[in-house]
Amino acid sequence: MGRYVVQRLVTMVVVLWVIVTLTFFMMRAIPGGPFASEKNIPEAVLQNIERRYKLDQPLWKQYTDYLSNVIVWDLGPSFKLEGVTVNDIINRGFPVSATLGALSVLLSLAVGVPAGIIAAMRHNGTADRVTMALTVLTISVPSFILSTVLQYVFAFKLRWFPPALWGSWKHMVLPTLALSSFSMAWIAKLTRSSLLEVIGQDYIRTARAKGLPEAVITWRHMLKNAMIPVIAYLAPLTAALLTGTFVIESIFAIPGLGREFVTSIANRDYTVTLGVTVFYGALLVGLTLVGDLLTALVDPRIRLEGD
Amino acid sequence: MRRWISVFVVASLLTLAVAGCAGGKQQQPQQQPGQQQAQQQPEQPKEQVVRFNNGTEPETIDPGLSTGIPEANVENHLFEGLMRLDAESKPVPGMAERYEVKDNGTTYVFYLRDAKWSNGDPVTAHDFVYAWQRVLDPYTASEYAYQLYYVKGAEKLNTVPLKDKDGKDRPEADVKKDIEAAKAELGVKALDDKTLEVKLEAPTPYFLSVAAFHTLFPVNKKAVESGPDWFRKPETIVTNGPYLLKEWKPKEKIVLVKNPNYWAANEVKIDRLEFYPVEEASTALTMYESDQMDVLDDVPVAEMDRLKKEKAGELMIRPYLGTYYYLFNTTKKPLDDPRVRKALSLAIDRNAIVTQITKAGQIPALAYVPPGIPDVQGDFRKNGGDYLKDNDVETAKKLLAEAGYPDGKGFPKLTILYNTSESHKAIAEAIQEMWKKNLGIEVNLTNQEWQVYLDTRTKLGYDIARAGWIGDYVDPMTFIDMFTSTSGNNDTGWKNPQFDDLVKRAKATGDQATRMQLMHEAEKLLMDQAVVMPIYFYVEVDLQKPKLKNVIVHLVGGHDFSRAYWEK
Repeated sequence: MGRYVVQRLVTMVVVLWVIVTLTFFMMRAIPGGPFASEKNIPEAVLQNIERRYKLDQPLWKQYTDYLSNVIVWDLGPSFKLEGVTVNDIINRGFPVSATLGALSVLLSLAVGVPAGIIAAMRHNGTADRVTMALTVLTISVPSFILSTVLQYVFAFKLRWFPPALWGSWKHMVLPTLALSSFSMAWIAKLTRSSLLEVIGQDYIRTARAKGLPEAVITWRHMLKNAMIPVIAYLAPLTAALLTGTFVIESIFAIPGLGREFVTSIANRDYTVTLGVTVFYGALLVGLTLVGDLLTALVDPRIRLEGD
Repeated sequence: MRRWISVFVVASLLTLAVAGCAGGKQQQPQQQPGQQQAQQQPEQPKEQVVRFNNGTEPETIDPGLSTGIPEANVENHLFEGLMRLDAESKPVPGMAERYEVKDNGTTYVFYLRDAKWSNGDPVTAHDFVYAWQRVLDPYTASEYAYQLYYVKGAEKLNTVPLKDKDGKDRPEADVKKDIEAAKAELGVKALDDKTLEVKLEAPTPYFLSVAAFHTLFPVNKKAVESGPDWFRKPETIVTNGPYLLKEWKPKEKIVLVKNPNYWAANEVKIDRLEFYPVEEASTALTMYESDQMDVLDDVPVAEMDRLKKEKAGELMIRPYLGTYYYLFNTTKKPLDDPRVRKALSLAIDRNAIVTQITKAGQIPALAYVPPGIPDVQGDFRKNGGDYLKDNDVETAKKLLAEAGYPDGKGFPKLTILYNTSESHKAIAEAIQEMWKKNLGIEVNLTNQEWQVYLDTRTKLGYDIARAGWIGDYVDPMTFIDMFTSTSGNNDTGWKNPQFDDLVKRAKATGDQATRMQLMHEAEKLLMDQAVVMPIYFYVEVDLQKPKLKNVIVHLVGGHDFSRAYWEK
C-alpha cells in the first residue's frame, strides 16, 4: 500500500511536469499575446512592457525560470491584472469554486442515491418510471439552459433567490442546483442499475432463503455492493465539479477560479492560465489517487499494484 | 457495512471540509443586491445608491496604467484630471480652475484650484508633473503612454532605450541618466504649487479633451510608492475625485462612497456607487429586471424588440463616437483596385443591417468619421456630408464591370473575417447575401477568436475583415490618422503619400479652419479610395431606471454618475 502510494506520487510529479510543459509551449504557440489590442501599441512601448514581464527573454529561459518558480509554488504575476499574483487568484477563486463543487457533490449524493434506490426497489413500477424519466430529462438539458430557466423562475418571477453574484447562502442555491443536475441524475441512474444487478445475484437469493429480514438484506448485502460503482464515480465527479464550473460561474457571475481560467485564456494571460492548469492538474491527479484508494478500501476484491 | 458507512462519512466530511475553506467568504454584510432590494423600494432607494453593471472586472484602477472603459468608469469617479468632460463631452475645468493658451496653441498654463487628496495633502502642479513623468518613464511600461505624446519631449522620454543594439539590457545607471535628462526636457513644469505649464510638440486644439483622459490624471506619489497594488486597497489608495474607494472584492464588486473633501462635493448627490462585473448580458438584464441593478451598459440584442416595447422609457440610446466597418486588404487582388472596393461598399444595404440585425438605433454609416465632433462651425460629419449612397446597386455593378468583373463573372472567391460573435456573424451573413444578390459574387465567412483575429489582421492575412474604431478624444484626427502609411493601426496595406501629407499638415497647423479643411480632404480621399467600408455608427445603449437622472455618458465611452441623482 505504502509503496503503491509512493509510486503514484512519483507518477503525479511526472504528469504535472508534462502538463506544465505542454501548456507552456501551447500557450506560446497560439497567435496573439497578452498585450495585443485593436489599438496598436507603439513598438517602443510594447518592448518596455515585454521587458517588464520578462517576455523579452528567450523562450527556454522563460520556461526554466517558470519551472524553478513552480517548484516553490510561486506562480508569478498576472499579466493583465495589475498588482495581482497568480497565487492571489487561486487563493481567492478556488474556495468559491470548491464550495460550489462540494455543495453540488453533496446534493448529487443526497438526491441521486435515494432516487436510485427507490427506482430499483420499485423496479418497473410507477416510481421507477417517473424517476428514470426525470433522470433522462435532467441529463439531456444542458446546464446553461437550466441556469437560465432557474434564474427566470426563481429569481425573476418568484424572487426567492438572487439571479447572480456571490456572498450569502441564497446566492449558492441556484448555481448549485444547475451544477449538480447532471451528476444527480447520473448517480440515480448508476445506483439503480448497480442495485438491480446486485438484486439478481445468487448471494441475495441465499440470504433470502436463510430467512434474513428484507431490511437487513437491503442494507447489508445489496447496498454495500451496489455502492461500489457510485463511490468509484465520486472522485472523477468531485474533480469534474471542482474544475468544470466555469459555465455556471460565468452565467451566475460567481468569482470562482473557473471564470478566472476562461478569462485568462482569452486574454493570453499566460501565467494565470498556466498556474490554474497546474493547480487543477495537481487536484485532478490527487483526487484520482484518493478515489482509487477509497475504492480499494471499500471493495476488498480490488488489489492495488505494489501491495 | 460499517466500513462502507465510514468511507461515506469520510468522503462527505472531505467535501464539507473543502466547502469550509470558503466559510469566511459566505458571511457577507447586508449590502448584497439581493438583500438590498428586500429592504428598499425599487427605484426609490432611501440611500442614494447606484448599482451599475460595469461588464467586467477592471484590470487596474491605476489611471496611468489602464486602457479600457471598465477601468475608466471607476477611475473617473476616484480621480479628476486638469479638465473633466461635461454632459456634452466638452472639457470643463476640473482640478484646473482656469487655463490660458499661448504661443499659437502650443503652450497651456493651468491654474489649479484648492483641492485636496483623500489623505489631506493639497493637490499641486507637482503631482501632475510626477504622474505624467511616471507614465512616460519606460520602466513604468504604461500601455497608453502614447496618449501623452502631444507633450513636448514625451515620446523621447518614453522611448529612452532600455536595451543596447544587441538586445541586451543597458546598465541601469546609464538608462536612469538618460531618463533624468529627458525628464528635464519634458514640456511639463510646475511654475509653482498651483501653476502647471504644458508645452506641446504642435498645436493640438483637442488637448483639453486629452487633459480629461485618465492617463493624464494626477496620482499621489506617496500612495504609488507604497507598493505595486496601492490602488487595490482602501487603506493605501489616495484619490482626488468625487468618490473614495470603500471596498474592492475582485470579481464581485467595487464600492465607492462620496468624498466629502471633493472641491464640488455639494454637486455630488449619490452617496454610494456599486460596480458589478457581470459579463453575461442576459444575467445582468435579469438582475436589472428584478431591481437589483440600476444601470446596464449592455443590452442583449435578442431582447431588443421586447425591451423597446416594455421598457421604452428606460432604454437610453445615446451617441457614441465609433464606427463599425469592414477593412479591405488593399495588397491583394482584386481588392487592390479601388473600383472593386467601392463596388463592394456601394452594394450593401446598411439600413437593413441596422433595422433588422443590430436594432438599437445605430446609424447607417455613409462616411467614416462619426457624427458628434464639432467642426469650426457645426458638426464635422454634417459639414462633410455623405460620401456614399446606401444600397446603390446600379453604380456598384457598373464599377465592378469596369474593373473586369461584369455581373461578378470571374470574381475570385474572397473571405470575410470576423472575430467570434453572434452579431458579427449575422452582419457578415447579411453582407454575403447582399453581395451575392446584388453583384453576383460569392464570399466565404470565417471567424476567429479575438486574439487570433487581431494577429491575422495585423499580418494582413485576410481579404476583408470586420473592424470597429472608438475615438480616444473628440476630434476627427482620432479616426483619420490611423490610415497614414506609418500608423500601426493601418491594417489595410494602403499607403498614400497625398493622404500622409494632408494628415501631417493638419497636425502641424494651429489654424482650426485649415486643420478641419485638411481633415475633410483626408476623409474624402479615404472614401474615394474605398480603403474601408463603413457600415454603421455606434450608439451607446443603456438600460437605466427612469427615476435616476443626470447620468453622463461620454461620447468616447465611460459613465459618470458624479452629478446623477434619484428623483423623488
